Amino acid sequence: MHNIKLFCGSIAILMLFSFSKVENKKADSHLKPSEVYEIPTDAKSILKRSCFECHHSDSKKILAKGKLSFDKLDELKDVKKIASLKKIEKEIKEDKMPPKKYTKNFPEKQLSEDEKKIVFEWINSELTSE
Amino acid sequence: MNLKKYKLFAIPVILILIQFFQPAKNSMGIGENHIINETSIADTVKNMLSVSCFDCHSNQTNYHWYHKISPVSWIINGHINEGKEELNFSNWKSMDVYDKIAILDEICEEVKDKKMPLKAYSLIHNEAKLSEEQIKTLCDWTSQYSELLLKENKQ
Ligand code: HEC
Ligand code: HEC
Repeated sequence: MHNIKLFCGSIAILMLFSFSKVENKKADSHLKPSEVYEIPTDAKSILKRSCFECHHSDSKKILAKGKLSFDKLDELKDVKKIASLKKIEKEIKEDKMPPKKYTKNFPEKQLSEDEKKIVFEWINSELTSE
Repeated sequence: MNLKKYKLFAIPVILILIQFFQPAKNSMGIGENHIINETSIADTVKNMLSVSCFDCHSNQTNYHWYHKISPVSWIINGHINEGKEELNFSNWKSMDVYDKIAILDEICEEVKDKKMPLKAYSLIHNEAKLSEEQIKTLCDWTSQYSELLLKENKQ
């Protein structure tokens, strides 16, 4: 019994170590670890609710994340990032995203006018900082 | 029997009647904000855009005689209106720099994916079809030009 506990414990510790290593690697591979890309919280919570399910590297929806991944925005070249931000703005302005088919089933994922404004403000601040 | 004859007769009559319903022509001419007047763009690029894109993406369409016949004219008019809504080269010089950078990116994507020029168009306008080499030239231009625009904007 005691042996099993020891065994499990050491496995758990080993796993923790290996996880922390992965974390470190991720941070290292980023060009500027002190400036890990963060979307401001208010905009992020809206995008997270309405877009990340399809547009995030963790997403299972390959088609959409191949076109746009919010967590990869900052890895893009400046001009590509600008193009992506403008596309995001356009899709939201024209109510094309999130897709109608999807919001029919999940109406709570639709953006209100106020929420759109918050996202547009984030986009504008990103653009002017480029 | 008689009814059948009338039906046959009806088709040319309808075809003639619809000729009286023609959409307004897209021929406002080349304005001063047209991309043609942008001196920092090479002529090879301008020529490509002119041959393959301006008919649907500017305020001046070069119509052929068959474009003036309904229902062809309606279809063409639809393409022009939709095309101009997405991108109008006649407004180029007055566009916001970020809009320019975004549309340049889309231009390359659309031609690389063979989505532009529209198939319906390049089927008839053989000269509008872009070769692989032309597509590369266009994409090289869009990426270089957007970098230049961004640099200028920072100054
Ligand atoms: C249910 C899944 C889903 C959700 C939720 C969703 N999208 Fe999309 N999105 C897609 C798909 C699929 C495509 C690709 C469509 C295509 O190629 O026509 C796409 C394409 C896009 C594109 C165009 C990318 C390109 O390069 O052409 C943008 C921009 C975009 N989405 C933004 C958003 C934004 C912003 C949200 C949230 C407000 C959102 N999407 C929510 C599925 C989704
Ligand atoms: C026969 C008319 C026609 C021609 C010629 C044409 N287009 Fe288009 N274009 C359209 C239409 C219609 C749309 C909007 C609908 C769509 O995207 O299919 C469009 C959309 C676009 C878009 C926006 C796509 C988007 O989804 O945002 C771009 C960029 C574009 N065209 C570029 C070009 C370029 C570059 C050429 C020349 C190489 C060209 N087009 C030639 C009709 C045309």
